[in-house]
Order: sequence, then structure tokens, then C-alpha cells
Amino acid sequence: MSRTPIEEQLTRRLHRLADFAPAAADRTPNEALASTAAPMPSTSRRRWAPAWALGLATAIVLGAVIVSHLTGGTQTQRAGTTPHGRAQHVLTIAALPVLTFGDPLTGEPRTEFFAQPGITTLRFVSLGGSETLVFDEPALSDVRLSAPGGPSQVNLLLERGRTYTIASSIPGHRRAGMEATITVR
Amino acid sequence: MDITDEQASDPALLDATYRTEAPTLLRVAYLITGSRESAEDAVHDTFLRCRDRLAELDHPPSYLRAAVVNECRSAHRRAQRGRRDFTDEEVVMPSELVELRDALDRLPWRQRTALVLRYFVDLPDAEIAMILDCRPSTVRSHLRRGLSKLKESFQ
Repeated sequence: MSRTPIEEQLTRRLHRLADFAPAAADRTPNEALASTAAPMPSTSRRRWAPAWALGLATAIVLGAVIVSHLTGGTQTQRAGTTPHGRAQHVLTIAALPVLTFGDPLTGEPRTEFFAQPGITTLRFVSLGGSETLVFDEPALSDVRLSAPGGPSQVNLLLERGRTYTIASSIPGHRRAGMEATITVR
Repeated sequence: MDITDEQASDPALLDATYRTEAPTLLRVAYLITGSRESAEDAVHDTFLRCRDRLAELDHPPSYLRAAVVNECRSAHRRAQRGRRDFTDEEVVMPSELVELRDALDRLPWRQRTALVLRYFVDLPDAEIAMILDCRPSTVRSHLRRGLSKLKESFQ
């Protein structure tokens, strides 16, 4: 199919612009994983943090979650039922710009999250939304996580079989869709 | 054909695919994101996500390209929520390329991606439509509007 002069010009310039793209890493993902014990430059360490997580435990969330997991999520907000001890699990919930909670990795809206029983670090991150997450449960009424800005995480003792309801405390946002459940199973 | 776990995550296959496909994918990701760092992240994360499925793919390059575009979309969202420019680096390049990069950055994400997939990767409407999850006629609309807006930067 013939192209117009403007299309030809765009094609040429795109190829020239692409020459400024970064080069492929010297190490393949496998090679980087195999050498995680060796010190790496900071940019590489950041880039391969998800690889490390996936390699270790098919981790769901990124490097920050790993750090949180390894340290037991010790940066906690004291809530009424905030447990003492190391967190066993991490659940990350994102605030999307479309007035919904969502998956932190895919950015997809979700109204239902799942958690495992025990001490769980609940992390709240912003994917464009500016929200404050609160619980309906009276026992968790002290929990207020804000994204962006913080506090962004809290340790909770989640009970098997319970379903917790979370929502935005900003007026009107809950009615607009900023509500979801966390089911413990 | 049954794929065993060992085959599904074959390190040699991942290495070979990475060495073959990563350079092109990085260029595509860079054109879409306008950011070297975002492009690197998108490509690396794509390989990590896809490594267990590589052996099952009929045509890994197409699958990886679509996956990279999706990663770029996530990067775009992250850039938007951070309220920062998507093109976040100062790279010395000819002025006409700076103008093109900035002009692409001003386009809606779908228009920009459609232009890159058509005029850099040389994909047909139907394949771009599959990647962008829209109809071919919508792709043509994105291309027409995107080109119209880019014309000004070529004056």
C-alpha cells in the first residue's frame, strides 16, 4: 500500500528516534536471576526486583512488597486490632483514577479482594486516585490509609471466613463505586 | 502437545527469545513511552511475566509485542498518576526528533501506539486492533487523527 509523503516522513523519523532506545541488557532474565547474590548497580537491582519476587515465591506484588514481607511490615499504623508480630501475608490494593479500587499490577478495577488468614500487611497505593481507605468494621474503625501521602500500610489480623468491607471516606466516592470487599479464605 | 513444567519455563528458550526479541521490543516500547527507563521496565517485566508461557506460544514475537504494549500502557498510567511528564529524561538528539517525541507524547495513548505499530512495526489494521482491543475501523480513526495532529510538528 502506497504511503503519503507525511507517512513516509513519519516512518523515517520513527526509525531515527528508535535509535535512541536503550540497548538490551547484557544479562538475560535468567542470568540476572542466577546472579542475584552478587551486588548489582542500583538500577539493575530495581529492575530485577520483580524477577526476584517471581523466582522466590511467584510473588504477586513488586519489590516493595518483598521488602515489606521480609521485614514483617513493621511500619504499621496502630489500629484497634493491630496485631503484634511479623506479618505473614501482604495484600496490596490500588486506588484507581476512576473512583474504584483495583489491582496494583494490572490497574484493573476490582470490587473483591482475597486475603489469607493471619497477620496481613495491607498496603494502599495510588494508581491515579487520591483516596482514603477505611473499613466498615467497628473494630477497624481506626484504620485510615491514604494514597498518595500515607499512612499507606497497616498490619491487620484477618480471620478466616470473614469478609471485610472497605470504602473511600471521601464524600461521594463510595456511592460512585469506591467500595470493595476483602474475603479471607 | 503436553508441555511439562520444565519445558514451560525452559531457561534456554527464555534466553534465546530475549536475545532475539528484546532489542526490537525496547525500540517499540521507547517510541510508545518516550522514556528509556519506562521502556526497559516494560520489556523486562514482560519477559518475567511471560517466561513460563514461552514454550506454549505459537508466535512469541507477536505475543511479546502485545504484552509489551500492555506494559507500556501501565507505565503510562503510572506516569499520569504521578502527574509528571512521560518523557522524563533529557536525551541529546536532533531537534526534529525532539519535536516528534514531544508531539507523540501529546497524543492520546491509543493514537500514539497505533502510529508506532503502523509506521514503525508496519502492522496491518487487524493486528493493531487485536493489540489495542478495538475494531480495525477504530484503528484507522486513531491513525487518521494522530497523523493529522503530527502534521503540525513536521511543518
